[in-house]
Amino acid sequence: MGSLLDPSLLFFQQDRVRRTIIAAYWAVILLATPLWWNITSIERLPLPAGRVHTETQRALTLPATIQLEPGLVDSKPHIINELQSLLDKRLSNSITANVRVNDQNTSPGVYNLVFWDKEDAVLEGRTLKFPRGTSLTSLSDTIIKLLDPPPTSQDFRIAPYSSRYRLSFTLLNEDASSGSYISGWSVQAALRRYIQPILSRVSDLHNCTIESQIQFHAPLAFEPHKLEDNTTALTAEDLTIFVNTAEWTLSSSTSTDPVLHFALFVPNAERRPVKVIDSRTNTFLLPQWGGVVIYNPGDEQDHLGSDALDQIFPLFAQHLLTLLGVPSVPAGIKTPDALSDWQIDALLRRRAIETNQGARDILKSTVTLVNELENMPVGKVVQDEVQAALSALERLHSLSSKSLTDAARLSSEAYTLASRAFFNPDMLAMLYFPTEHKYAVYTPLFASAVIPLIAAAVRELLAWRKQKAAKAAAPVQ
Amino acid sequence: MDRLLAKFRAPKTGNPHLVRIQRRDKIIALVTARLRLIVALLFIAGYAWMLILPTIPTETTDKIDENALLPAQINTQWNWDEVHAADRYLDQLEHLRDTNASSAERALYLQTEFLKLGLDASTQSYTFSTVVGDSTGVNAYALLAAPRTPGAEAIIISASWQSRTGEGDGTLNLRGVATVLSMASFVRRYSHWAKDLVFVVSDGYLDGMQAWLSAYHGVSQPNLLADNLDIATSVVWVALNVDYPGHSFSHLGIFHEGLNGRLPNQDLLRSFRRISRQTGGSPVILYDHIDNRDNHKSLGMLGSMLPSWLQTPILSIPQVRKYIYHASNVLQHANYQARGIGSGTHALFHKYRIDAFTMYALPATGPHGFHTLGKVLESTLRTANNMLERLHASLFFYMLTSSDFSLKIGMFLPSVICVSVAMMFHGLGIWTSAGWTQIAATATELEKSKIVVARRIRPTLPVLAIMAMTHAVGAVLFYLVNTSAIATSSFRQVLVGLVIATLPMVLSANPKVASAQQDEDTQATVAVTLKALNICLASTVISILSVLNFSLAASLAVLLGVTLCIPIPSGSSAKWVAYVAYSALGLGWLAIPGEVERMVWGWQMLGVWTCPIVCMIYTPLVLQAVIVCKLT
Amino acid sequence: MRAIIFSICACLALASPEESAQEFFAGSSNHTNNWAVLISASKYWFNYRHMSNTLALYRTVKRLGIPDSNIIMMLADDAACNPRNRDAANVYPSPGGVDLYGDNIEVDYRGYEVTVENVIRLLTGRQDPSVPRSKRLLTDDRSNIFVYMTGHGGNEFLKFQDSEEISAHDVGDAFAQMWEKKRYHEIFFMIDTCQASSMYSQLHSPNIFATGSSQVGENSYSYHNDHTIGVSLIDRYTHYILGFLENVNKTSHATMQDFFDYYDTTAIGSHPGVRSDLFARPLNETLITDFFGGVAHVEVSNSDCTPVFGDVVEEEAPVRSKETMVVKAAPPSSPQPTTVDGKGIRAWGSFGLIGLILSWVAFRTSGS
Repeated sequence: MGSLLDPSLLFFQQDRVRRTIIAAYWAVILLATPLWWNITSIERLPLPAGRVHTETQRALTLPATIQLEPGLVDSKPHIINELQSLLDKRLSNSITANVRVNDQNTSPGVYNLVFWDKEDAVLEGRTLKFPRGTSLTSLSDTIIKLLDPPPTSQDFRIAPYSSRYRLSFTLLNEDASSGSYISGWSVQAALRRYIQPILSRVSDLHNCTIESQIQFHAPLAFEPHKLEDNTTALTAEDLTIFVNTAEWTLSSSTSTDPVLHFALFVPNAERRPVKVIDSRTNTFLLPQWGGVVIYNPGDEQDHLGSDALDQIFPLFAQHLLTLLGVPSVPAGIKTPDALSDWQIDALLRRRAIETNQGARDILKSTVTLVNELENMPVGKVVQDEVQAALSALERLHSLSSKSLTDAARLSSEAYTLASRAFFNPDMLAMLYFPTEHKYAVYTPLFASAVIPLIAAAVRELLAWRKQKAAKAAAPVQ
Repeated sequence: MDRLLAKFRAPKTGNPHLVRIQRRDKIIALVTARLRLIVALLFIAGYAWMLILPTIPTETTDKIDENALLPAQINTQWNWDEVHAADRYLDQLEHLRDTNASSAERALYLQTEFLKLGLDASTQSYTFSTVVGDSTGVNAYALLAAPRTPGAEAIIISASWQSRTGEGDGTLNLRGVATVLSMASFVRRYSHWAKDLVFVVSDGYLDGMQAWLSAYHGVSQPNLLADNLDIATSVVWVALNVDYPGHSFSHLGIFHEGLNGRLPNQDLLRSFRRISRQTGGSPVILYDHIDNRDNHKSLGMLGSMLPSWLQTPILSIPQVRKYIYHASNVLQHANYQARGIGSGTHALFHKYRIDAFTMYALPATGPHGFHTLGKVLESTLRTANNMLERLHASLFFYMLTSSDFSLKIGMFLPSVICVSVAMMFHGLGIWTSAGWTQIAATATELEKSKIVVARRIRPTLPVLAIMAMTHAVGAVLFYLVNTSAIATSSFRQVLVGLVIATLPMVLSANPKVASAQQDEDTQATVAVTLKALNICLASTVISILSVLNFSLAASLAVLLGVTLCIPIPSGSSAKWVAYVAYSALGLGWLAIPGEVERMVWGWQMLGVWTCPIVCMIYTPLVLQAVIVCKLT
Repeated sequence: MRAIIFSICACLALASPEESAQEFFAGSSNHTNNWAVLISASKYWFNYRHMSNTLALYRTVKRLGIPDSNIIMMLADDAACNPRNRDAANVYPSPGGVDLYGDNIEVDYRGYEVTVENVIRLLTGRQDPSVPRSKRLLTDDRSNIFVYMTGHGGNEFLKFQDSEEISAHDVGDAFAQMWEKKRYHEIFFMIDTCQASSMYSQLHSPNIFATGSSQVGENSYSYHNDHTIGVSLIDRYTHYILGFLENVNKTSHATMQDFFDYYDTTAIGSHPGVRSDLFARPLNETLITDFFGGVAHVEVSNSDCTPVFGDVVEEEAPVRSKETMVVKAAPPSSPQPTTVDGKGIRAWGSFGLIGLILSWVAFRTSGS
């Protein structure tokens, strides 16, 4: 008696029909497997990792051209080389200086050095006028400070780069019901005079919106000390908790652009005068947040006209410049311009380098993260944005030597695109499930159906092989 | 070892399937050779298990499975002001009782009191008509809506006008009603109730609450005429029934059986036990049996059944006292569950998946009164208030042997199953042996000393016809019992019983049946076949009933187990004795005074299944045994 | 206009003021702002104590100076306004304690918004553009973040809302993504659940240190059953550490090492764990206020008018090079080879097992 498991002995079927039936099941499974794979896989489009890698290696260098007047060069011919070598030694890698003779081609963005007979060093437009007899080292020092201001310990107060800012100007009355308070201010005029010029100078980098409001009840969260002469003094510690974010709404939250706050605080009649210790102007700056000015009006004053605001808005303007990261002019140099071109150029350079570094970092992080987290989906939008950021960076490198504003603009564009790609809400890694969970889900679904199929297929195969062997063994019959 | 394994290992040669069949046959032969022994062992095991149920080591009822309940974790606010209010209500209720006020006046008084408290209140009048009597009454109820949340669930606090003492013998539950009124005035002051609170004072004993619940859930009954409820509210998860018949109490008793043997979730009872002990300071007992270990005078049901000369020596042994106490509880539980009417007003709630029980204040001159009961009730209300979903975590099938110990289903169910299996084996044994007869052996076979057997036909169809007839008789009996003529007169019940008892004699006089008794070689007798099928049917019924209503199945197992399996004695006088004994077993319940009325009333008013089962399943089974007896 | 500015600023140039700035650094940390993420992940009335834990730490963190705009608080259920609360609108950490719910709290994520997905989106910053500012974690690479989670937990998971779980791997990955995008300077991760230590076992990004209320296999216990309200009011671990934190104020110099030395196993009832191998600074130099307090830098301008170009802004002061400002740390390494091997072994092992079953079924010929 053969084994019951030998299909040919067991069934009253034709071999061919039986095998076709089993093959049909297997055909369905094989056809369905790619569909299942497709449906259950996470969309991970490839990112141009190679390009990202090359881009991250390539740092941005911005050139600056310095022209000396011909007369000077003729008298001291080696001055060009000496100055060049001094500058090369001391400038950071991201800026290259190129010293040459003024050959009257006024290409934009070129800086002129002129020596004159006065005692002071003065900046005018893109020209730096130096008294004769200054040493080359001090000259090179000054040029370096103007082109590429060294990082200071104060750099953390600069607001992080964003292509859009909201500037929010608020007049806060501590308590309007207590008596004298300010009911209005000529803020439009003051903005036009002090703030708009700055904004127009930095319009290549930032697109800013301004809003202003008056609040009539803005209580303090603490009780400041009163001195013997009835002035209220605010210590440095008090200043850290001065801004009562819980109860003062200082900006409308209609958008997610970063906000630079400028608050003008008018204390209660009982508290006046309020003085900030160590500040003659009653002003302080909160890094990356904004600035506060405390104003003690006269008893009868209820409106801040232009003359009052002329004392206040320059303070705000200074705060704005600090927050935007405009470097200040080095010591010993005077300038008739409110904002000299050298400073704006330095700001553009700084921001360009910052955003370029930022964009490269983000792209590198994106690629690293996508490789590390296998469960993270990468959609079409993300891929497109990464490509766009990379192309912006490539264009940047070709244009950087020509126009500083273009360089800054492209760099910030690359940064924005890379940021958008990295923070795309769809790039949320699927939650972690241990392998056991996956097996626990799939095994009951498939195993019970698949095992008999496999067993049947294997048996058929063996039976078929045996049949073939039997046929081959007895061909002569 | 090798030999043992070799027995089970398949031989290398020979057809593997033949070997498999042979092995199976060997195992079956092993069993069948010792069938009687196995049956006897199973019977002994089953009955012995039932006997030791009260002493099986069980888990204590300390652990609460539902985390949300948090019992006994609050300070109660119920205080002497509320006790004073309860006393004032009690005075007025006693006045109502003394002036023989009618149901309507009572209900009006209650509604007025609820309205004075600012609650929504109304009354509901109802009329029940059953063959054993009518009952009418007026219920009063009130609703406190949840103060801070939309009331999606509700808790019911109820008290019936008549206490459950003596299963509704007329003792009034005045203090229970006073507690409910006082609780209504108390809860109004607080806003931490997350569910609606419904206060119900139902008239009568069970009838009032049945009318109210049916109207609440929109269920109608043909013999019930009840007003619709004016004030409707939401789903009810928990109901607390208060029963306080005496002046003071020493213990709080838990009555928890429901209709048809259903039980509430044990978490509710466990929480109540913990609350009563910790917050109220009142000990908790099951039913009204005081633990005789505390009180030497109390003996419980069982103890008082012992003859007096036996009581002292036996009861001085602590293990015996413990056994007697637990066994009393088990018997009482079986009594309530088997009868199916439940043990109080709470029984009516279980049908609607509401967990409910009655807290019974055991009358005594003891230390507790309104103050303790109020605190316990308030704390239980707070616990029920904490519930987030219906109780589902703890046991639904259990047996409490005391308020401290409970048996899980695996500890008591197998006893009845053993008996049922024994009956099934016995029945199948009889069936198998009815199909074979021993024929005379030829000479050659005698040498080989083999027993020669041959198949014979079993008269299955006639037997099935007889069984169907007995069940038809049972149906007729059920119909008759439910008529007013018979249900109200015990004389007529006995008469009916006697008539039915003579039916087997009529049947055996039938010539066809009689003739079928003769031929023993080609056909089995009707009696043997009937006995086999009777036992098998009884076994099936017991098994099925054991998971629906354990005590009913256990009663059937006790009554029918061995009795159906005993071989009928030979000898005509012995057979007559057996005939009378079986008839008494099957129909004797008609003679018990008051039993029929109670069963009929339960069926007609509450929908309790005991009457149909007894009439249409139990009696026919025993009738079949009577027929077997007559035909043997 | 230029002339006006010129004249004004000329006066300043003559006055030559100095601009002075005062900073409030203490200790060795380089952070400039503090954030706190406080999460209570469980629902239902009997989990009152988890809400209370979170609110108590919220109070502490606010008292020590972190403003509401820098605190993200997630409460999965509302204990104060639960209809079972006898003391409506109040949440107490201890009997007779001060009400935590107070007048002035800001719950950013409440009720059904507290989900695993929202927590991960919050941490990684990948939120829909319509999510408002108050629900975003707007940190940068100079932010110290204090992350606190409480609820019911187990081995490497924390239960959210009684229906889903966050695993330790998810938390570790979220922090890794934050590190990649430079969204934190240092993180202090505290967790109060059962088997809390398992929750920080999968962290792998630098500058994080963590503490949990119990070890793997241990439960964390609730502190006190209050009989007026009827629930446990707070967990033991949080109650215990509040005892320490109450003595810390904004100018305190207590260090993290003092905090961890304060742990007492018998009082807490379980063995709290600490993990600091990923943290660069030594714990005895890390101040409590580096994480719990809101260090704010203020620069007081001491000039009459502001020189657009003025005098020196400390350019001669010793300058820290860029490298020291950003804590250098090794890039997050790929998952340890051992875990990959573990996963692989399990996968291949189970394939092998199924293969064995199949071959046994298929090749069984004789015997039955």
